[in-house]
Amino acid sequence: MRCPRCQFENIPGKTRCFKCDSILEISAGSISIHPPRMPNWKKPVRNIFRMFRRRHIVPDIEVGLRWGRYSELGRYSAVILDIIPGLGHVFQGCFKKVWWLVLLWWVFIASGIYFFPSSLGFALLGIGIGIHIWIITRHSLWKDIENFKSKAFAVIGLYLFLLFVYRYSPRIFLPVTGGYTTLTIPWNNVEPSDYFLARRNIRLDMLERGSLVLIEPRAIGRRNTTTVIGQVAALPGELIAIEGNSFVINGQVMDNSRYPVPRWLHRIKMSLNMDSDSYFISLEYRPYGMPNDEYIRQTCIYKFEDMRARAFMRWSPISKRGVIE
Amino acid sequence: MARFSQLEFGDSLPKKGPEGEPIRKADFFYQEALKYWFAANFELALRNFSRVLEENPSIFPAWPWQILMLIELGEYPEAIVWADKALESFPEHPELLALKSLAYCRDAKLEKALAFSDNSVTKNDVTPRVWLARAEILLHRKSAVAENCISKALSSANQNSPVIKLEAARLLRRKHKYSSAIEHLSSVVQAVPKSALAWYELGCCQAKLGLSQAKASLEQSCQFNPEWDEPRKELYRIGKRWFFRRLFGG
Repeated sequence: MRCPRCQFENIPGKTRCFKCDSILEISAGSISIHPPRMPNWKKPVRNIFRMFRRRHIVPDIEVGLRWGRYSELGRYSAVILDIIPGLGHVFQGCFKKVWWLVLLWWVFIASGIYFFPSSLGFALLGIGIGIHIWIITRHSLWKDIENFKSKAFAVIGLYLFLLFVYRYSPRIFLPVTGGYTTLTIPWNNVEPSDYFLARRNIRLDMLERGSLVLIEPRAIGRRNTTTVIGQVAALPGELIAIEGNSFVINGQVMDNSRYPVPRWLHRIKMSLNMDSDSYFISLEYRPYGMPNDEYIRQTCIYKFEDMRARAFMRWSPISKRGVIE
Repeated sequence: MARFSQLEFGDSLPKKGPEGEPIRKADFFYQEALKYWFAANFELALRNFSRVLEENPSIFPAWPWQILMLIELGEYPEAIVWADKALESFPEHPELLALKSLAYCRDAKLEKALAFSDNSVTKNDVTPRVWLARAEILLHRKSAVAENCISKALSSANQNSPVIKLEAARLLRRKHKYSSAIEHLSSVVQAVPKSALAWYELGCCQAKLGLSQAKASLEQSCQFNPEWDEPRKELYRIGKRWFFRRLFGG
């Protein structure tokens, strides 16, 4: 049997050439003849990397991958990078191992945010965190922990750490926060326990009468740490009074459906002059005894610095979700 | 009619396909693939080279062509994977090593490209493509030896081989050596007058040198492969060139 490459005459029945080791006869079924193809989305990514390589901006990626996979520091770095699910695996070049988990994580986190702050939303977010831990445990470093008890402790520690990350990272990275309201505003259908999203970076000119703002209400005589959404009823320099069940601003009676008086101020006579930097924020309270002017001043008058954020969107209930005017 | 013409003698009679249809064997697909390559339809050329291997995987020339088509399509990592696959069946084949080095070179991994190219030229049965790949790598490094490699490739190939000539000319054009490229391309378009790729390359070189024949060459290319956009784009580019660029070329 003659080798097609080097023309060496081989013994019949041989599969490879004795001289050059080439395959003498290949059957069509035994070997793949269709080459692998590049998915379209990879083209621009590869072009960018190629451009960087031509300019000697990035080192050879394989060296990086080798470092990420085999050096001790690289393995620890990959675990830390997995605070963003899958990033550590991308760094080590083994994203294929976890892509479906990352996809699942996205699904749970996105649906958790969609149903937030209902109990279903919290449950979905909890499962999302669980999947995040699963992704982290798919590192080779995890195999080094042999004892079951150590593994259990590590998982619990990781869960607590991720809870902390999920709780506080939006505060650092997102300009958006949220809060419940205790008010009833018939004009835009606001009811107690509606949940609002609020923009953190507010400017003075963004506040007008009727704006919904997130504040930490001053509880008289005890510490209060919750934040709620209240309504700006009077602006700096104005004279606010209550007559019947309506606010009277500078002698003009306000529309009760747009600027409702909270229930605890019903049938109370009061008249307050706003300072040049103070706002009257309408909030529901449960006062101890009959509130007087001083009590109302302490609970309802806030400065601009006290306001945490301005509400821009009703998030819950889902049926009423939308941007508010 | 001959006396024994209706008798059956096993395979002594030549096999014929249906009326007017050529027999679709490996050779047919190989010729089709080359035709598509000359028409700059690399995707179809790749598909036909795969069909060649479907018919007979031990036809060696189809393997390097497949790798080359992947390189033409800009799929360099895939070309490398496929070169490795081919090297399993044809170990240490210089042409496969050279194409792997070419893929690395186009993927801007010059160190590896040079290493594989060095390896390929040390082998015994060095093919013209090995020298062309080496020339490309050396041209990247702006080495003067590159042109010697191209001459070696041309001299080691069959003198009338339009494929190697065209590949050499394309390389020369990429490295801005237009007049040398035109020399080779003129003979290629004579040998393969219906090659859209050759006409396009010729047109581009002529346009760069400010020759008036560029338009005609590119129009020829458009005519032979109307689906290919590149000649049309080049024609558009020529059309809107300023007077001084037309005068001095470039």
